[in-house]
Amino acid sequence: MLINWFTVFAQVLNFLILVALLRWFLYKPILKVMHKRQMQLEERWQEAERLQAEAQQALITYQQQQQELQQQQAALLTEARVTAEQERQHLLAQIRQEMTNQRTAWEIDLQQEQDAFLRTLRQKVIHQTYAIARQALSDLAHADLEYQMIQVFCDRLRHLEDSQRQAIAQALSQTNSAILVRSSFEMPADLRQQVIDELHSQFAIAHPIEFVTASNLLCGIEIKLAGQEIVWSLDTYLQTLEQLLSNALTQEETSHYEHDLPASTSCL
Amino acid sequence: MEISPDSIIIYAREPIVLNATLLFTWLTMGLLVGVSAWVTRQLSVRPRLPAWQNLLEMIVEGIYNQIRDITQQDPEPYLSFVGTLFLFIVTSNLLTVVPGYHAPTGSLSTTAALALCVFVAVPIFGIRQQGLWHYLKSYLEPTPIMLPFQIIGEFSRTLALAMRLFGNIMSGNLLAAILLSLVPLFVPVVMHILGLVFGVIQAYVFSVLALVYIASASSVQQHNHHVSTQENNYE
Repeated sequence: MLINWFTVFAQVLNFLILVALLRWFLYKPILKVMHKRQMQLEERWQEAERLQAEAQQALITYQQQQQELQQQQAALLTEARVTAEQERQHLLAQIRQEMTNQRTAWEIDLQQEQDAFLRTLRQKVIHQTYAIARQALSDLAHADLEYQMIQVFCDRLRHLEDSQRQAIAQALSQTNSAILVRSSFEMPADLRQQVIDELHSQFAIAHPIEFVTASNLLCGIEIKLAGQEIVWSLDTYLQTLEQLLSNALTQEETSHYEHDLPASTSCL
Repeated sequence: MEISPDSIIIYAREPIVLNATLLFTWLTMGLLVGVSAWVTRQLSVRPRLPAWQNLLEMIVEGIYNQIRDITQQDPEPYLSFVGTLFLFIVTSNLLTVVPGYHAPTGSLSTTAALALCVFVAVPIFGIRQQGLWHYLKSYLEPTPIMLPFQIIGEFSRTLALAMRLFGNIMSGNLLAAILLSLVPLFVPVVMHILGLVFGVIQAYVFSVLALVYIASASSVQQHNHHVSTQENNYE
């Protein structure tokens, strides 16, 4: 007989005991630890997903911030360009204003130099003309310039216009003050007498007559009669000459400036 | 020469007879329980596992997944019974390489005891899952005429289960012993290796068949389908 029934029942009992023991010592602990590990893995997975979501969110935030920064940078750059352009325009306007000021100052200086030059020139011309005339008259006609000057002056007195003559006579009749005769040179006695005689004959006066030498009176003679003046002077001719020279200089300066100014402006 | 380790009597006092089957069964049980208790005394939850814990987890998880794949149900209720069947049988069969070891599964008493356990476990699991009435009703389906055949089928498959395991293990041991006496060199080694392979396969077949019987009884709707398909597959 291959089957021993005692052994069969003993084996049944052994098997049931083995089932209970392995259930206690093997399956339960192993399944428990596997389950726990599974839970941990799921927790870690969820944690990883949460962290990934946070990282994604952080990335989106970072990208938004970066975009905002780029926009701010572009805005600042545009603002800086506008400010720089405004500053450039301001500086250009300032420089133009300075140039205008300098030009005005230069023109004033030039005008002053021109005036001084003309003054000096006039005096020199007068002196030279006077000297030349004196020398020419002396050499060619053996005539004195002062003498000729007095003659011309007396001739002018004789040929005064009627209205002027009447105005002078009327003025002399209302005052007894002295008649002042101013000359640029020391008048000799004979010439003084000639002038007195001429005045007496023309206006019939008894006023005292004073002779004064005035250095500012350029090469000429002047009589003040009760507010009226009768003058002959080389200065009269020179004023005409000065006016002509001044006009010529002004014209040349303007043309010279118009040629220079565009070049200097374009340099700015 | 002994066909069954039952005949190797170590201690006898009627009616208690301590034979090699019981002795080596206890040794196998001691080995299984001892290793399990030793490994599971301090389990690690962390992913880096000790080697022995990893081995036990692989085995338990493998059995667990097999049960789930075959039954399509929650494996937890069947794990202890079917898993212990497989582990006991496979350990017994593999230990035959140890000189002087007699596999308890080479004893018809052991295989009969295991088949008897399956025979009892089938209605227990069935009633626990479905209730008594539904379980008994399954014997009358598809028609009450089939009741005698169903009962015969229950007994015959239990007998077939016991004989299949006993025959395979006993024949393997017997063949190895015969060949050892005829051709002492090389051939018995090959036969031993083959015996190991057959031992693992038979443990798997026994466990899966037991699982199929139990699981099919636990599910009325899938009863016929499971029994017919799974028996055809494994027999």
